[in-house]
Amino acid sequence: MIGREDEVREFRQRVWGFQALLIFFWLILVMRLGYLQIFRGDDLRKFSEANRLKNEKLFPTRGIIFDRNGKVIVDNRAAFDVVLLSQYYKSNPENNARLAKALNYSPEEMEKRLQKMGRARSYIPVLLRADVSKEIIAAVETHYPSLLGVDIEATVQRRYPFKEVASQLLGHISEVDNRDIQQDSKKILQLGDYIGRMGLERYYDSELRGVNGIGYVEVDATGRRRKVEGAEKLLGFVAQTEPVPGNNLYLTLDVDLEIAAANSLKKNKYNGSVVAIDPRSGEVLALVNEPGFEPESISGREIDPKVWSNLRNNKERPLRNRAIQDIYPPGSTFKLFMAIAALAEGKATRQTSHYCNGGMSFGNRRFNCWKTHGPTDFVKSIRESCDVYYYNLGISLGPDVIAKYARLFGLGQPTEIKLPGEQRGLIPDTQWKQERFKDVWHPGETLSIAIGQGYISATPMQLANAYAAIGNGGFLYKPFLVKKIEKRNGELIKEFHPELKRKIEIPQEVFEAVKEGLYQVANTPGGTAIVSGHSKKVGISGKTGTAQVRAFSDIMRMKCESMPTKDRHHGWFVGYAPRENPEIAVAVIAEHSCHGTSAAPIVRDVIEAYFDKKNPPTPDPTEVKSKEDNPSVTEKKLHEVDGEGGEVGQIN
Amino acid sequence: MESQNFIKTFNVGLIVSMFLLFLLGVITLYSAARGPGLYGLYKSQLIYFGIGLVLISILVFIDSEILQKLSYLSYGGVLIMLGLVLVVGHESKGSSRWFNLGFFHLQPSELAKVSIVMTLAKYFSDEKYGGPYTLKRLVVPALFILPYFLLILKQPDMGTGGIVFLTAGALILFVKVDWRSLVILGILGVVTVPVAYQFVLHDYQRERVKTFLDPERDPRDTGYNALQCKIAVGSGKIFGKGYLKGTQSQLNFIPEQQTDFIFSVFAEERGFFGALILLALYGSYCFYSFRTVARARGKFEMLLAFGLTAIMFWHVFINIGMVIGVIPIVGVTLPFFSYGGSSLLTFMLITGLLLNISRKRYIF
Repeated sequence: MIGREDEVREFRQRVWGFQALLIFFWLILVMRLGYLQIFRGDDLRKFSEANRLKNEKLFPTRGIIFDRNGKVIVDNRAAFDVVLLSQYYKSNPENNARLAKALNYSPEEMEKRLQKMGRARSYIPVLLRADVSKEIIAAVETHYPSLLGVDIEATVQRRYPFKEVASQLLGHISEVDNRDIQQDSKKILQLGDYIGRMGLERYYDSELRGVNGIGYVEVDATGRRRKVEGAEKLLGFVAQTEPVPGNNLYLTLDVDLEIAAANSLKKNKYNGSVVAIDPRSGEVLALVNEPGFEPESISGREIDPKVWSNLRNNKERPLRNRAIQDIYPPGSTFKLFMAIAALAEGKATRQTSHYCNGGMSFGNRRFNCWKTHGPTDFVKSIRESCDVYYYNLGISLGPDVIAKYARLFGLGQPTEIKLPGEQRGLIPDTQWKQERFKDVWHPGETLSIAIGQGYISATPMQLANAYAAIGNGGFLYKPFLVKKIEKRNGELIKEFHPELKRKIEIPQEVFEAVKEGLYQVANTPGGTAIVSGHSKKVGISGKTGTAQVRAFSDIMRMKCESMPTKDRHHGWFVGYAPRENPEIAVAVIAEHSCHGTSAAPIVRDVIEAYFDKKNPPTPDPTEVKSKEDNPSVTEKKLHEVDGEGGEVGQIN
Repeated sequence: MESQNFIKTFNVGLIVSMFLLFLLGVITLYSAARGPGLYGLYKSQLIYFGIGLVLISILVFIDSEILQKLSYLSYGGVLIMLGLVLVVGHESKGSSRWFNLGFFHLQPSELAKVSIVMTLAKYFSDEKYGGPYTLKRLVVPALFILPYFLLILKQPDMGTGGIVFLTAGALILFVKVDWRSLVILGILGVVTVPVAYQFVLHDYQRERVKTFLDPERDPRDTGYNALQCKIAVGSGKIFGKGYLKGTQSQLNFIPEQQTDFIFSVFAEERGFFGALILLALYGSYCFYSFRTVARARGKFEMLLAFGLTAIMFWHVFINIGMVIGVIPIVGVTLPFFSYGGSSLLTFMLITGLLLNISRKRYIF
């Protein structure tokens, strides 16, 4: 069929030739394969390892903070961030729209995010959206095949379950910036790490933070982290350092008391601060500042700049830890230290009496009292807060002796509480005046100091601590917040015991005398807080005070309530309970509340909350009824019954 | 009598080679296509294989006279399809290659490979000329080849165009070319290549050539595939990383690893040793089809069988060659391995035709 036989033979021979050719081509392939797989096999194996293994930082979980009863007040929760590796992402209108829809972003917002991405280095993941919902995770995952480079990262979000409670005390965390890294003397901070800002988060940052680990994370060609089943076996080796979780803090704080104190301040609609400490140890039981903020809102990987600037620029200063960072004139609460100084120095006795006719002349000025007290003895001077009595004590003591005693109780110096940014306040004396103003002390200034006005200033923490030392008979502790630090596994690292700053060497009779006065303030007719600070549950001892916001001349003859809010006086109440061997000392400053009596009910609330928790009250119908009676006394009436006026000393 | 002959005449070696290749192929495909959106591809590959087996059983019994008569008709039909696909074809990744038939993506360029072989076999066998062929005598075959070649390049599909060109070339060499003409063709080729490089190739194709010459030139972009493939193949070393344990492929470092680059998956998992076995299997397939050529009953059958063998050979050589960096990257599938109905059915069509030819030796 094919034609000539020799032609067929010729073709068959050619087939052999082509078969030889095929073998030749095959040999080329075999040689190349041999070169790649045998000669360069080890090299290329290493390349393939490097391809899929990414050396990655493993973040530790931050330490948990507990209150004194073991309630969790700061912990962590799992969160998911959507990130983007720009080297894999194809930016086109179709993909961008898809991504925006998945992330629930407006096209404009998406545009902004992607512009940010354009500036970042292509292999560094850029955050697209932090702490996303399950719905967004699902939406992103369905688009995985088309949205290359988009990945979901599991992260840890700091959680503050009580929201605003103790916010300034706890602080918050945020990502480190370049300045933090430069300032880090131990050179352990890296970009991406979190660091405590403010409060305990900052002060105990090195305890809470933990230690970063290093791990090899498997990534695929689109930079996504991958969990392949049996990854360890696939890798053959997993060289990694596990991260060390941060240590846990156990506080002296009682979160229930903290909440009660915050609620009382809120209920009375005052900004201000409450400090409660245990006079037997210096343990801080509550530390409240109003207004507060939600630490979680500024602790994430992504902080809404609006939230942050609102907090920073807010005139009511929600970020401020007033209890230790703000100084106020102590007002009449300072009279106690005058009284102690006079007794201890022998300048007065319990029987010493002065006549108050509503003021006194000194030099060419007239110094007013807020009320005409008539004949006033030592205890009455405390009970009814007679300014004239203390003008007289001031004249006989002089500024340097006053300063000596005030300092004995810790005023004008840091309490050494372990928190960042503590203010020391000021106790002026002649030397200070000379150094500060290059001027001699004017005797009239002593009279201002004697009633806690003028140059003198203190923090709520200082006053609470000083009154605690009065209540316990002269033991000045360093207030502290952390009872112990434990490792995550419960191993004890550090335990903190009460630390006595000094024993104030003053005869007990002196303490007995002033404590009698303090008790009468809230428990004897005529006392400045007989209504506002009196408790049916426990005998509260304490002292009202008024801190002037503006200089005397500005407020001359003006009724406090008629001034603009920002110019009104602050009200103080500092006290403790019970009268003997007190268990709790509380200082409250109610900003712009005009009267010390405005602060007293808050102190009462805190002290009652403390004792209610200790001895839960048995429901008693009459008790409940009488409790309801209290608020029926109107605020106006209250001020008529007790308290000091706003008008303190005036220019003659 | 008939049934005994059937078994005796059946090209068992060819069919066993095909089955073994497909078996290895579908196992590798399972491993290559485990990523999102790819899972389960091996199932449709199995279905196409089933359809292919039906196709083979029909082809085996077709009279070669019919094939001869169909030759020019198929040429015309495929030519029309190649023209049409440029106009109404399904566009994907910048080229229009398919008709979307709903249930199937028909690639006329796949058919063009078989059609050109049938057409040239028909032409050369009808000519009753024993060669050697001079340039003048090659004008008509060239006029058959060029429309296909140019239309396929227009899609653009360098790989298939190249296969059509090289297959036709091999067939012409097989019918013997006058040595002076060969020299002239050689010189013409040397002159044409740089011109074609500059004026015919698309930008991305030029990039591929540059990348081939210097793969590390741009490791993130055009060089990426070449580099990742080389890493995959090389990292398999002698015995491979094991089935499903190829990190390059499992972690999607290799693009198109289920189609054009599936050899890198196989080589990574099975190593040099496995690659040798695979080459031996393709060698065995080609060996049995060369035997079909040698034992063909007529000139048409012989030339047809040779052309089909050439298609198979070039596919294997070009595909593996591009994966391991012997030649630049062009889109050519690996027979029985690469995922895709068009490709698999074409190679089964080729196998069916080869089986048909090998049967005819004794029956008629």
